Amino acid sequence: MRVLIVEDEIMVAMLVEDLLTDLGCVVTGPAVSAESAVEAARREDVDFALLDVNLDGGTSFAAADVLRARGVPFAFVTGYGDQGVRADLRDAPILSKPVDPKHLARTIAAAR
Amino acid sequence: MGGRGAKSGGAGEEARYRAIVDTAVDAIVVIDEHGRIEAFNPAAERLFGYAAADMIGANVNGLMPEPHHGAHDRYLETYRATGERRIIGIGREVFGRRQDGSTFPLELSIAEWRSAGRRFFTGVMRDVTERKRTEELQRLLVNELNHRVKNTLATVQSVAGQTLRNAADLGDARESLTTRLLALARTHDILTRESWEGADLRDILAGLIESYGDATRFVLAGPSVRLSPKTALSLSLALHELMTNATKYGALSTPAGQVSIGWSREGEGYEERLRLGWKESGGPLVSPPERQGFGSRLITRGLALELDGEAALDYQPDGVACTIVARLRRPPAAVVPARGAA
Repeated sequence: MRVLIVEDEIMVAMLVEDLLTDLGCVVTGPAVSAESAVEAARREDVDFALLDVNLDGGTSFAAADVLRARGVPFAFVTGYGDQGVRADLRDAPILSKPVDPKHLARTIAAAR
Repeated sequence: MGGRGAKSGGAGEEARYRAIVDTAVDAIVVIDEHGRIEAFNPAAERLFGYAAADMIGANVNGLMPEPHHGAHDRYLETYRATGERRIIGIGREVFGRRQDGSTFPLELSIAEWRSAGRRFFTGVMRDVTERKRTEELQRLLVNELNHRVKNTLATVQSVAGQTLRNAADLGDARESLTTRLLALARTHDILTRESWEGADLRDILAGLIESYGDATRFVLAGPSVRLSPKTALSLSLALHELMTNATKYGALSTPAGQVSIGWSREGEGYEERLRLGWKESGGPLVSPPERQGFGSRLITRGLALELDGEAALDYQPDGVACTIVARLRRPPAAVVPARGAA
């Protein structure tokens, strides 16, 4: 399973990369800005994406729209809670920071 | 008013009551049961911008924005008919309307009294604009603090996880984890001193060298450079890793070895970048490590991406050399279509 990581904080990106690799995923990214996230969402051939909500003043919502249009499932990772996610995207799984590896594993399993 | 045995003391007592109302800090407005204003004290004049003379006899609903403006007569009617209380004797926060049409939040309490068979209501009001602003600011700060704490915990989760994955043994893990957390804490201290607006590269380096303990082993050369909080945090962690590596295996593991750190600024405006070089000399012969540890992963994989620049780690035989190029300013985020992006 190929997973795109969108995360502007490199330490958190490394963490998510390790956790996904442990789950047997092949990771790509991280995209670290709203623009590069949209670019990656259009271009990358992935089965799933893990999106940090806040990206250096921007958000990953535009990237989420692109993924949704392409039929690629995704989950959000955020320190702000559900309210930080645009209302029409809240049906996607929302993981909080710090990341619970079990929650991540369940989310990935559900998408396989 | 109905006080036992408090017979009217005549003109003297009335003057005292009047003085109390006239000098009150809170606005006091008295209405009859039809909403007509009977009294309007000086604090009310200041609060609403009307002269008392113009307000006596006017409908009190002139002091309210919609929906209460249009509904107030009905509220009074309902109260007269049913005795059902919505606000009388309770007090609540409502909006007031000044003469200039502007509205503001106010705290209102209402008391009811009777005199000569007629019913009156006294409203005491206080402008709470400032308090509301403070509450809103506090709410924002608490939310932001929560977000930062969660992010910091995620960073700690990452550092701890990678430290444990890479450690040779438990003692090594404890040592590495502790010094990494201390390095993060040092940068937090510097950023906090500057209200999290940024940090000077020199302060970051000074903290790093102080944690090592011997400034004579370092040669620094470069101008003052402001770093964003994010750049400061990643860069200081990367520098900490370089220093730890130098202490264990490199120039700082021998009595005479030196580390020179030189930096400069290149380009202008949004293209302005920091170019920083770390070069060790006088240490043992260097050979590349057999596997990639946390430090080299952070520098070679992560840092370049996060700093929107380059980062290269070179295990030259005469001493480790590291070059880091970081964008100093991010252009304002381009307008990304919120939805429907094709």
